[in-house]
Amino acid sequence: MKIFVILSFIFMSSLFAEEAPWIDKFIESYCINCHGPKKKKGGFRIDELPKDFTDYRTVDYWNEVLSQLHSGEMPPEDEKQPAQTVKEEVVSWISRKISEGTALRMAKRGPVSSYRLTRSEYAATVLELLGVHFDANAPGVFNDDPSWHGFERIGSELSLSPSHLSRYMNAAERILSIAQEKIKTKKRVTDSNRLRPKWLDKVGIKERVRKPMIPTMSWHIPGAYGGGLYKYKIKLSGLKSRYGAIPHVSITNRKTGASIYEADVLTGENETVTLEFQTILNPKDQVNISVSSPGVTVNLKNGSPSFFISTKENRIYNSRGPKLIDEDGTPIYPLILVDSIELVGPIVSDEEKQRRTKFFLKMGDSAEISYKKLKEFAEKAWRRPVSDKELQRYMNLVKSEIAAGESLEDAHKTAMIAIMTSRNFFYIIEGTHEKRNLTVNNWEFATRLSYFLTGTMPDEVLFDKARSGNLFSAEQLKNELHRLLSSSSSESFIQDFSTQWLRLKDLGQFSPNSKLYPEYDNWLEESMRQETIAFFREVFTKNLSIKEFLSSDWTFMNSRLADFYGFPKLASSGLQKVKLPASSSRGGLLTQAAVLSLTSDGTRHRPVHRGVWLSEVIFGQTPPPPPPNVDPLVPTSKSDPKATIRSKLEEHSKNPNCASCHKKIDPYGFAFDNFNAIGKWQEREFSPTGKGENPPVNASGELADGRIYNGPKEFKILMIQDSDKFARAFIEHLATFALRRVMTVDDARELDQIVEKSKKKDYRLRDIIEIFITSELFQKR
Amino acid sequence: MNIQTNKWQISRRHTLKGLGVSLALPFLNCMLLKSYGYKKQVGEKPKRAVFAYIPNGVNTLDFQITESGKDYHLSKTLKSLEAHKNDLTPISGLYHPHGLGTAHNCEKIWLTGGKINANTISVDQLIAKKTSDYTRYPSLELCNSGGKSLAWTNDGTQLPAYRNPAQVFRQMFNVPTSGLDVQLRNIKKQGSILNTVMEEAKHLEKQLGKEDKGRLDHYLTSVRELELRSTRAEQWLHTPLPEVGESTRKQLNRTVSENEVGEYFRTMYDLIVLAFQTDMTRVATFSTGVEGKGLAIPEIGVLSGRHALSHHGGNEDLMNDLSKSDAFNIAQFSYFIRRLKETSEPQGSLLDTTVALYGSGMTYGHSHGCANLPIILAGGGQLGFRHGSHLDYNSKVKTFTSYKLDDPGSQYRICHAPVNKKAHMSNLLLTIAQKAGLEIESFGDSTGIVEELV
Repeated sequence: MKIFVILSFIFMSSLFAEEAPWIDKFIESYCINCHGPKKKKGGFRIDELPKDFTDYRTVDYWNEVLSQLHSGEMPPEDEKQPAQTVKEEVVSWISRKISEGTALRMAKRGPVSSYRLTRSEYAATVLELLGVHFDANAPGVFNDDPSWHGFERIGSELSLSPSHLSRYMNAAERILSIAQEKIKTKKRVTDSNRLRPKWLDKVGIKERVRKPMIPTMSWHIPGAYGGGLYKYKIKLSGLKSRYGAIPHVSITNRKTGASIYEADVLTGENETVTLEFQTILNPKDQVNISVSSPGVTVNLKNGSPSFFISTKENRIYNSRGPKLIDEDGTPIYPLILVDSIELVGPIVSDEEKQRRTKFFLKMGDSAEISYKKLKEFAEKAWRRPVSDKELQRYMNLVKSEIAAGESLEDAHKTAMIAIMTSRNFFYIIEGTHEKRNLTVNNWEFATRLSYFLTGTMPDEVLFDKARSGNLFSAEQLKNELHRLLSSSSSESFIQDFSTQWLRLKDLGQFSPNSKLYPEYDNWLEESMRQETIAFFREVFTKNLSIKEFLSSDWTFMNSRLADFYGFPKLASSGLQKVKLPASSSRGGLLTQAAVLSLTSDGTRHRPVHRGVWLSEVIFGQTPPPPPPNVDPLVPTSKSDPKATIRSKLEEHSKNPNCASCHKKIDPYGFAFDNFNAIGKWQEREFSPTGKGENPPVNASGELADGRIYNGPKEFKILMIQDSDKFARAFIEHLATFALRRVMTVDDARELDQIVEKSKKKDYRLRDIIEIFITSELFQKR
Repeated sequence: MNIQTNKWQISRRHTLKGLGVSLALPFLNCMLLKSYGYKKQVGEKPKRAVFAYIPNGVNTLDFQITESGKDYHLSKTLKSLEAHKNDLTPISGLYHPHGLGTAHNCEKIWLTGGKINANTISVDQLIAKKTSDYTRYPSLELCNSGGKSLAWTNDGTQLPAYRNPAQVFRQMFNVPTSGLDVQLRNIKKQGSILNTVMEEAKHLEKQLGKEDKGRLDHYLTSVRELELRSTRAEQWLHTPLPEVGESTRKQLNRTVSENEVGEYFRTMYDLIVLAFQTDMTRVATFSTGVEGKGLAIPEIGVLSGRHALSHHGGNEDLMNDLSKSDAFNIAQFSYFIRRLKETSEPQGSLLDTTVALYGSGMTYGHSHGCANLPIILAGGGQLGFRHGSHLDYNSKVKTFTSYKLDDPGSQYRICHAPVNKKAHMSNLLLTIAQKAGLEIESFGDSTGIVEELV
């Protein structure tokens, strides 16, 4: 430990001192005339600016220097100019120092750290606290959470403005009112046979009638009659068209257009499946079912068919809409046949009902009971013991509300709103102002563990363990870990961590150009996302090595993705694990459509973006930003031959200012040039302008350390060679997610220990998590 | 059925055919108000400011105006502004020094002139601090489903924005059914809640060292601001809301699909006109789309969003579509100017008391060029703005000879690196702020005001 302290000291001092003379020379030549003892232009003296990048105020000035140099504003045009290469070196030196300093500054924490809950954590917390399903992501309810490199939980990023606070106060009022509502759970069943025309009996047709749906058709189905959780069961069949197109079913919120559920459905005519899903609906939300199939549009100008009997029955036609079945009894279009739709809701479990009423006063309850219940509520909401002194303010609020003419029950509720408007609720607060703790206490630990693995506040079992004070022993922790991870709540970890780590929210950020990529639609995008999350879930649940993320001989696909990837048709339509042939370039995360798409811009694939993504997400290294005054990319003129992005980029990076960085970044991206902007395989790159044939792809490259590859398969072999480096970065990302802050040089020793222990377990994911939560780092405040 | 009938009525009343030149019925009649909601008519004339953003730059080859000064011709995509030529100034050559090379982050600093990673207050919010003394709402933030506003607070927190016109309309103009007493009680109750959590935080503040207060400060500032708003709300409670005519109410109190882009934009612009006319607020921002969420315009056959179009790679179809989209967007802004002009005020028109800024933080989207920004300033005659010329910073530089639109590379270079280093966009923002009544000497990285405009 001592050795590390000394080492890190040397390391840090080298950051500040050794390189300084070199930068001083630059300052003396180009800056000091105006920003020195003589002129002090703009009130700024650069010679007095300390090279201490751990100090927030100093760094502000350095940031200014950086942007002035970077933007070419300084030195002014009429002054002596540094050589471009020298300037770029200085710029990249400062920017490196600043980003290293960012980490150090974030680490300079006071005795109390406050981390605001994200929107989804807020909603999950409200469910655990009050049994209310609250849609925190509905437009206008809360502000968007800003993220840091994809991570949404970073305390220093989640700032607070009056509009945030006002929304917290309003949300508390609404949530508590929902909790008091009488619950009327209803079940509604829509049977398609009710569409049966009476005359069918007369012509002797006895069979039940089914509701037919073909692409472009959309049908308004039962929706909410009050806010809350609803469960749908839709019984249907799905038949291929005569050309083999599979029908896709989308369930959407009519008001917001948001997708609720998506599935490809493929069955026999006499087989049915039941789509079961639940969703939170707001009062008056309406819901639609619609059918689509890639590349299939149907003209419904003459109306839609309203009933269906069977493919054998071709005597009877719908009076409106296109013909559904050809002479051989084969569906002309992909065909969905709905038998029934069942809707139950709002669903409130008994446990949730109990949570809803627990903290409110009943008619006739005394002030003592109010006090007792408020205390219970505050302790649960704030996730720690609450002193009488703290509670006194809220009791005073009850009193003043009563004095203003409110009933005790209403005044009690107002105090509950205040408890949820207090910073103690929507901030996770670690540490006290009384003394500077180096580790978290039991309560903070329970909260940290719970939000890390389940995305919500601790449940009663975990609270009890915190109360008894023996959560910290390795044995206890392992038990607790198994309990939390075996419950369904670990799904929140799977979804949130994979989404944030891999930046899956960027998928679809720039919608692909519909002219260039007509096959891209919401369902393809959603299928891509599902593949990546299912892949992560598999590594997690099966406790596989994280090396699988780099390269694997399996992945997940549904029928749509199999078609998109050019794989043989799957036996069934849902998401399933698929073994990849040895010849396949897929496998691992890097060649998944989601990753390849989110690193493109919707029009073209972007080797540089892919390189930066890989550098940051896989290896935890952020390259410096590009200099601002590079020449524009001028489109190839009609008379020039068509060119790949790579060849234009290589021309561009001949410029020595660009070359040094691009040499490191680009090889991480060129490996994937065989995949277009939506992740589809290409041998030749589509070039919109220029003459001649589209140019062939060159997916070979040389890493900065000299290792060479040709194509994505060889590239993955090099990545596997770098597994240790990847594991270090992965564990750092895991810690950033769990501890809600950026890791710094001060955390290096603990991180290294975790890496070392994990390596002995072949970097298996659940083992890594276990080693992490039993580590010193996880207890460090 | 009903819905369809309604739609027909509205679009007849409200139609801009094609690129927005013809108009069916005068809109003015529908917007007539039964009463105004002014709290007090202050001695000075009201000063208003509105800012609207178009994402991803433009097809500069069709947008660039090539002559400078009074005798200029509007370019192909600006044609719809012809009728307002004397009420506006197109400006060429502006840039944000901190915006260069920042790709789509440029929208974040369009109104702040700040740095991407350490953003600061936007000019609209600065103005709102002054004008909020007179209005029910300090400012109005609108956006499309991209969900991000143009407005930022002092400490670089982005304000949320409304995307649904009906929601804004109801919040502003619907008289709460609960009655005055209940409303007053609710305001008081919220005040007491804030007071309770404020005391709690203050108690903590006393015990903390100076360097530890960061997070707590955010919280305290927020509580204080809400208390202030609560006091204001109480003061306004006794001033009746303006009564909005039934036809206007019907038109604005509705959800318009973003697939009907023209309807959607015009409804948003109408909402701003009404909010200004009734003095609900004097400051508004409208992000017609954040970078990446600029809408496709099916009604004129433009089926890709603005981001996809801007990365055209020289493809002629995409470039044509981009120009069509530019022209369409500008035609909606032109509609907005006309609506402001048609709305009369005690002295002159709403356009005379409103300065309107329209433009983008990017110019050449294909390779993220952020110089020579496309910018149009309109209105604000009574604030002291003078219009009628093309203000061209590029042509002020001796080495610059002329625009060479038939040599795209040459024009794209102008859009990548500033020709005239003095042409800071912050100077324009400073000028707007000063004319809107702020006594400030600098804004962002401003070096002075734009003399040509005043």
